[in-house]
Amino acid sequence: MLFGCFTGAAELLAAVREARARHLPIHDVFTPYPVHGLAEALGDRPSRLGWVTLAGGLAGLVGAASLQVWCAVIDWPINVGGKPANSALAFLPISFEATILVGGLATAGAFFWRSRLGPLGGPEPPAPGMPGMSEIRGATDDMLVLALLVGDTVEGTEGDGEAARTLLLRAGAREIREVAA
Amino acid sequence: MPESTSPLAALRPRWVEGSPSLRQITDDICQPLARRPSASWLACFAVASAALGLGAAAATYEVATGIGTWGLNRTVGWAFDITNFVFWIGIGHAGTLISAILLLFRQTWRTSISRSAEAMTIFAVMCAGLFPLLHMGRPWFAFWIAPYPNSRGPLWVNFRSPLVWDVVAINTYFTISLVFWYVGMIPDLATLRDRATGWRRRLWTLLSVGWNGSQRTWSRYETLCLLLAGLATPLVISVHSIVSMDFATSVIPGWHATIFPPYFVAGAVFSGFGMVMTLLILTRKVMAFERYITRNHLGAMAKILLLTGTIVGFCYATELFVAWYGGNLYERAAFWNRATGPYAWAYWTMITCNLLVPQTLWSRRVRASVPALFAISLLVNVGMWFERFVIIVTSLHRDFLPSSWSMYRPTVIEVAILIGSFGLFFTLFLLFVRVLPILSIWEIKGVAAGQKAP
Repeated sequence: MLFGCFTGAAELLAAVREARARHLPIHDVFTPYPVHGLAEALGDRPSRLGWVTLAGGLAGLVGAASLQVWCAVIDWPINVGGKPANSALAFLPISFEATILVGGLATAGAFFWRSRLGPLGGPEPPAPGMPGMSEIRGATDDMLVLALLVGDTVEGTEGDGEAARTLLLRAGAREIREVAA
Repeated sequence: MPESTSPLAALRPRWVEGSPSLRQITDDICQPLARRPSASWLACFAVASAALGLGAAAATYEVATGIGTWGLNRTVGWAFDITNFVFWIGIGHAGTLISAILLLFRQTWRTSISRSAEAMTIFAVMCAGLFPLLHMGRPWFAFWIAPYPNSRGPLWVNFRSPLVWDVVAINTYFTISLVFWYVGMIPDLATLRDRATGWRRRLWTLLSVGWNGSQRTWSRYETLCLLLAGLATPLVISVHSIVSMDFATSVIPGWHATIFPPYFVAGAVFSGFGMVMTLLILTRKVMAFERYITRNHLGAMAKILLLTGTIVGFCYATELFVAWYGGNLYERAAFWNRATGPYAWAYWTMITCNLLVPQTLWSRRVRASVPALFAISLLVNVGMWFERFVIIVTSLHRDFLPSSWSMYRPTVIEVAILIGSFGLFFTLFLLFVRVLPILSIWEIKGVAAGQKAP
């Protein structure tokens, strides 16, 4: 794998577009801040986290509403100031809060799970096939690192290491790090 | 970069002064954490923790002895504690407004102040939660408010009660704010991890959960932040609406009003921005962050203060008008009593601090003067505390029957617990300033990279 380190977002974006045009496989890009336009340049699909929010929110809504109705209407109806047992409007605030709570927690949980982030995810590769922190050092500070897959492990790219290196240098990479994949 | 390509970019205010490099932004924000605490920090911390100690002693005495140590009586059953509760919850609202609502409106100026404002939210909600807990008298039975299978039937909690709604709303608010705050910090914790050595590195490694700045994670991360902001926005509006229903659903004159939810939400944002302003003016000075928390930021906050202060003033006027025009004698008497009765001094303090003082912010010179903004922000805090005192105590102390009229006077214990809550708030905030990056490093990098001249 080749790591090209850039200092500016414009150079990085140009390198990504060039690599895509030449069909050089991009492993990932590591940046200290979200670079706008990068997802489009990489051709990534937008995240589907919103569906998790919807599902979690609905679960919270249904759960809280049915808990309240079951407690106050079915299991043990209490006469409070002569109000009807199923005074459903009064159950709205808690149902609303539960929608937000479960929706938010589910979204955050799904984010951690999908991104493989967790308390045990240390500076070592969090998952097989991902680069260690030393190759992408500076990516949490001032370096924008483009990781290109080269070498025997990728079909059809054998011998393209030189092409990738030239591309990175021409795009303005300040430093190139190489790791056997 | 949309910001740099737009021809209007030159006209926009700059939210980061100078053009610091990415490396310099990291250094500027991380270095204060590695230094020894300054003398001014130590002095502030000593005062704050002494106040916290005083409050803890008073609260311990109150719990050991009973609610009789407070000045409450049969007529005024809610006073200092609920005033403080509503005050602190309101303070929290500005943090969520800055981090969520301004994010949805794509206001880049929020980046420098969002982290500390969110921290303020969390600490303020913690302070707020203390008061209902203490008011229970036996706080170890606080779990009775939760619906759980029990040996009394099972007898479930009364879900129709606004007090139960309130518990759910506050806990949801606290949880979601905490998640939002932590998630927003993960990239910065990774930055700290990569600079640290020894036990600090191990701690940041644990907390930064393996963040490496991968584009796929960033893309998902931005979606997550947007979704959480979208959830937090209606949440923050619901929280103070529900707090207001604690009052509005009762029949007491002065409480029984449909205007309460929007009135409380506007007041909450107003008081919260007052507190954010107080904290940030101090922080930018003590931590030398004038480059990142610029006068432009203070000016933008001053405009929100002016807007929300005017909404609050409009609510006061509406309340008075409806009390007169509505023709309800008890309502009319309640408001006449507020303005001319034994607590009139509190009412006029509220009117002066919340309605009159913020109107000076129409002047550009006042908005540009840091000492003036600091003074106004303190007065707003005072005024908003008195607003809650006026709503709660003056409505209760004279209700329908003159035979039940009474006066309320706080005891030393109540005042000590109020001081203690400020002690808790500032102790936590001072620790936060020392331990965590108080400016969002990754967001400031994005803003600084975007505003560079092409």
